[in-house]
Amino acid sequence: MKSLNLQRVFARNTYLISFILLVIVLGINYIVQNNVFELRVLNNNLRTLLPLILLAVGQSIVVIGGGLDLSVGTLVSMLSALLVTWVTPDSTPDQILLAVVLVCAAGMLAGLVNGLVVAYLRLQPMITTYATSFIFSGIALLLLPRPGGSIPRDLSTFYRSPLLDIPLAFYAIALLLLFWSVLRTTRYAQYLYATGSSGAAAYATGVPVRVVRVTTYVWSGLFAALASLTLMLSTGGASQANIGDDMTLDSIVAVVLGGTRLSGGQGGIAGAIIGVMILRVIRNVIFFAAVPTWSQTLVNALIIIAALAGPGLIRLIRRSIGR
Amino acid sequence: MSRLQTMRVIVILLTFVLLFSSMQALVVAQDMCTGPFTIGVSNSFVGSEWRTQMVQNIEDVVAEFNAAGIQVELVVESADTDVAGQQQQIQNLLNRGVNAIIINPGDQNALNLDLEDAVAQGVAVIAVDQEIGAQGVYNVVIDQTEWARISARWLAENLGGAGDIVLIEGFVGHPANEARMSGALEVFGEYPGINIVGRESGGWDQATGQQVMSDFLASLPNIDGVWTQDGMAFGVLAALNTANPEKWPLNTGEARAGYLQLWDEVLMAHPDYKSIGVVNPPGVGADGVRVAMEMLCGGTVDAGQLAGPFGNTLYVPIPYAVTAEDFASYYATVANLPASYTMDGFITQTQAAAFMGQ
Amino acid sequence: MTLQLSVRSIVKRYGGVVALRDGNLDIQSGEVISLIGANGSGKSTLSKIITGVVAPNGGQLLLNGHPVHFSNPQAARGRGITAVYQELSLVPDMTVAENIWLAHEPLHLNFRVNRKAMRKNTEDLIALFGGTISERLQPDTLVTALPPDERQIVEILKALSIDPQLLILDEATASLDSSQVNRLFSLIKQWQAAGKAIIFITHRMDEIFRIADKATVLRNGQSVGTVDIASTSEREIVNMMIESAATPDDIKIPVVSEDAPVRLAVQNLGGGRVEDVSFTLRDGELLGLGGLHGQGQEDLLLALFGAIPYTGSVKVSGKEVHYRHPRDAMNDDIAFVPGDRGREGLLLVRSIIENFQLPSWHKYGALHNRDAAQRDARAMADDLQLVYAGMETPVNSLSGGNAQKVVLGKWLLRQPKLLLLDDPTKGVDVGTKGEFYALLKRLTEAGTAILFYSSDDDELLGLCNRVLVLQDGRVRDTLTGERLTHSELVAASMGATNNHEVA
Repeated sequence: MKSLNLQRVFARNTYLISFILLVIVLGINYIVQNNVFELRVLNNNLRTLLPLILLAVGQSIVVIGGGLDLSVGTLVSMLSALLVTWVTPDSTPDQILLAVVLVCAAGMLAGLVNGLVVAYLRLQPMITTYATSFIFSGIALLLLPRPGGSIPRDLSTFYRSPLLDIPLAFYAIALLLLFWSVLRTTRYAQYLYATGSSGAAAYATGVPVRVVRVTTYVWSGLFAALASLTLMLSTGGASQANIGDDMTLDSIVAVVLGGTRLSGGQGGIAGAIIGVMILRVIRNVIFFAAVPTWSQTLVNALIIIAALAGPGLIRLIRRSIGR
Repeated sequence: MSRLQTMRVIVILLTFVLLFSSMQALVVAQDMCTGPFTIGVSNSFVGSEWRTQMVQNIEDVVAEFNAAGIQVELVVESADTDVAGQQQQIQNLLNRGVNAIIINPGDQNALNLDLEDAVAQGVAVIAVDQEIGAQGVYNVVIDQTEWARISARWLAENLGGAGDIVLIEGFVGHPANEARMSGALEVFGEYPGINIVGRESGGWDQATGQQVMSDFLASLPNIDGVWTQDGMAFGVLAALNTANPEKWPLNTGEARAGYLQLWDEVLMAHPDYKSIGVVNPPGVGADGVRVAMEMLCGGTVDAGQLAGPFGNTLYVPIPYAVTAEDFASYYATVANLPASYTMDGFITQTQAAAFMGQ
Repeated sequence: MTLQLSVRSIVKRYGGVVALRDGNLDIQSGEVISLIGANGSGKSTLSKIITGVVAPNGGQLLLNGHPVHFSNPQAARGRGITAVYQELSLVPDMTVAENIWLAHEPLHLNFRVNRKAMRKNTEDLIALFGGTISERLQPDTLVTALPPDERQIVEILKALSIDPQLLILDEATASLDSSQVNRLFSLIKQWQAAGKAIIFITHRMDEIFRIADKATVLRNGQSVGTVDIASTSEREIVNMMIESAATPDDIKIPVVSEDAPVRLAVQNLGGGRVEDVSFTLRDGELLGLGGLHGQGQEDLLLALFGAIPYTGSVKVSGKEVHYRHPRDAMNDDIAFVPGDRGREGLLLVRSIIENFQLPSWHKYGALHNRDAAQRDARAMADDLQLVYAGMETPVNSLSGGNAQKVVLGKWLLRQPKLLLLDDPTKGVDVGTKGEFYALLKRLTEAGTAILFYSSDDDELLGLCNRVLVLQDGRVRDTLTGERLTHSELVAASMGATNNHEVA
């Protein structure tokens, strides 16, 4: 009975193994980099991570619902370009607020397009979002053919500084977790997990499977918008047409590192947040452990693969012992 | 090749050798300055030989300091990464407690706030290869405008100040390309006999450059000259060599091993062929280290020497240019090197010290 | 509230295949009607149409006299109609409570799910089966952690949770044990008394007589009549289920003599859905496996091929074996032709020759002897009368029958001594079937032992001299000689009990 409960705890809170992994790599990080928990260091680390965290949160909602979004990175590029063409250092607060709302709306609209194609035209999520990623990339290039852009300095300074001696990103993460814990109690969350785990069973039970699929992409679009807003706060509004392109794969790797299965129906956003942190901490460790320059990329890749393969290996070992 | 030219090459090479050996004396002169220092390097692109040479030159110069008894530790963050990734590189370097950062910025603006933070923490920050406007940061680069003028002037003079030419440029809108085009256009403007009859982008890509040149040869068979830059020059020469038109236009080249090797090949069939390759040295990274060391040893940059679009740039001299006169001796030094090797050079510690004020 | 549902002339086509050509059914509150029919008669399709899972191509549903159209399951549920499906409709990664209340979760006033109420209601539902289930079945247990019988119970509870007026139980008893079945039947009696209508689909004849008031019989997608259980017999129902169809072409494979060597001897084999199966198969014999779909026939073949774990004794050519991997079986000259061509049998986008060679690459050496491979493949293709454009054509360009020949051919190239066939003529046209039967005859004449599962009763009766009829994973009956008739086969598949003395 007891062991069954433990099993259920792990099955429900898939991020627990990832959390343990994060604690381990953080411990190693502390050994090679003593100042990792200093406020300034923590603040800077988390600040540059926040855009990817937000993106991975959106990605994990899509993945839980049984999809995949390969367009999030270029969507960030497009939305960033959109933002910096509207906002200048002289913009008034009203204008900035309007731009923020419009960027969020644009992100959700882009997600809606992805979602409608996937849910109603029944194209593969991977193909659909790969295709739309080029559309977003093309629009970004059209809006911002050469690097540029700038936002009021006060905004970046606020974003870059800790608030009440706590890094701003902590507030953001707390808000995300609060958002998720509320969402998790709604009927929508039941629909989301049911759709991702077994679309046919959910449909037979009366879950509006298609609508749920569409909403996952709208969430992803909204979070891509938030990611692009924080990215622009972090760079002071300087953007380029491909600024977010590389973030797509990281967002997927983070989701998987966070214990969320790509086949859907399981996992949560806490895992994605932890996954992003693991990615970052691994890079820190490699740097501070003085791995030779030209080996760093390879070592980084090997560690990530080991971390990804970990749960599968554990299962395999357990099964072969069980036999 | 004349004796005189051989002499020139020898003198240039000797100068480098001498400077290396004299380094110890120069460094010891700054007796107060023994370190230990930590210098961080942030490089966000690893796909080119140029960047590899840049990092290697930095390593060489640091080794030189260490040999001279000045303790300098080098930490390199070099990986293909985006803006957020390079921000993390900068933070890792700061968290590592570096005294100076040499950065080849992947974005002209997006890293400014992070670099200004670094400056505020008392870190000397030098941007190389790409000029940026961050406050307190110094750019150490070659003057791309002047770099372009050298080859443009060579083309104009060798055409006798008159003729129809085409321009093949890099990424339109990229700061380096804009600076180069302004330099080249300025020179051609001084020669009323020179007519620019075509201008296309080759995207700094060898294959695209070759394609664009082939198109020009087909549409404008009577052009007298081609002005281009970097890897596209190889494409231009390859297009000429393949098409072998009745009338070979004069073309500007580049100072890379591959170009010189093709040049040598072209000379077999066309003994009169001539070109120019102006060095765009990966050594600017090492120049950055030299300037940073001067700053760490108490030097202050001489405001009077600052120039550039943001008023914070120190222009290092362009090392040299390969021309037909001294081609053979330069070719001998790169004949067996990989095609992507860029001809190189970096400033002396004395030259770096000369950037400092009193 | 009473309910009266009439199904009128329902038609359903899947592509070119007609699943239901004339489906009719009448039921009202307080009735238990059993819907019965042989394989492919359209029972499941009809129940899916009633519950809105699939849309009909023609015909009408009348609810209390008014035509209704359910565009999705939600619409049918809204009218109090739901089903316990044969293929489970549970979401494996969710808990029992979450599954039962999915899409009608009790909510707080602020729209949050009322987990407390959900748990309480679930406990009440679980209590209905109290005493027949393990402690494991709790509101917070994940469905993946449950064994099949308890999942089936969750499925039943889920249907009950909407307090349906009409409940369809589609093979709901298949994975339940006898105490659970007894409990379910007493619950059905209560629901019936409370005015619910119940459509009960089963493959067990005894259950029909225990619980149903009436039986509606489907045959080939057509309703052939409804009888009162009180005034009918098993024999009458069986006769309604079978068609007076002609036995197929007389390619009866000759009876194998008793001295032919025993190729396969199976004792008390269990595994997957199979329980306690014993039989022997001699060289040159074609042994049929019959019964309704999913009664363990496929698992029996898979176990013999080493593809699923099994218990019991298996002797191949007198030698005791225990295969752990298909490779072991292949080394003993056993071949298995799977039922699902696309999933297991063929690399659809690859060429014919690649598919042919797949299990026998080693025959052509480490450095592939292409000429020999081509020669053998051509010979096999000719032997099978394969219609093809060239050896390099991808298999997915072939017709169903020709594709099936490739599946067969790739195994025959290994010259197996024991051939396991899993419904090989499914979806194959009549002409190809004929060629296929001739091939089976040639193979048995050459001494190959064949274990042959077919969902086509005509085929089994026409070809085989001996047919094992499986029901619930056990051999319900072994038909030989005079007893190789449709009615015996159907009776045995339904577990009808009063026919044994006929033989």
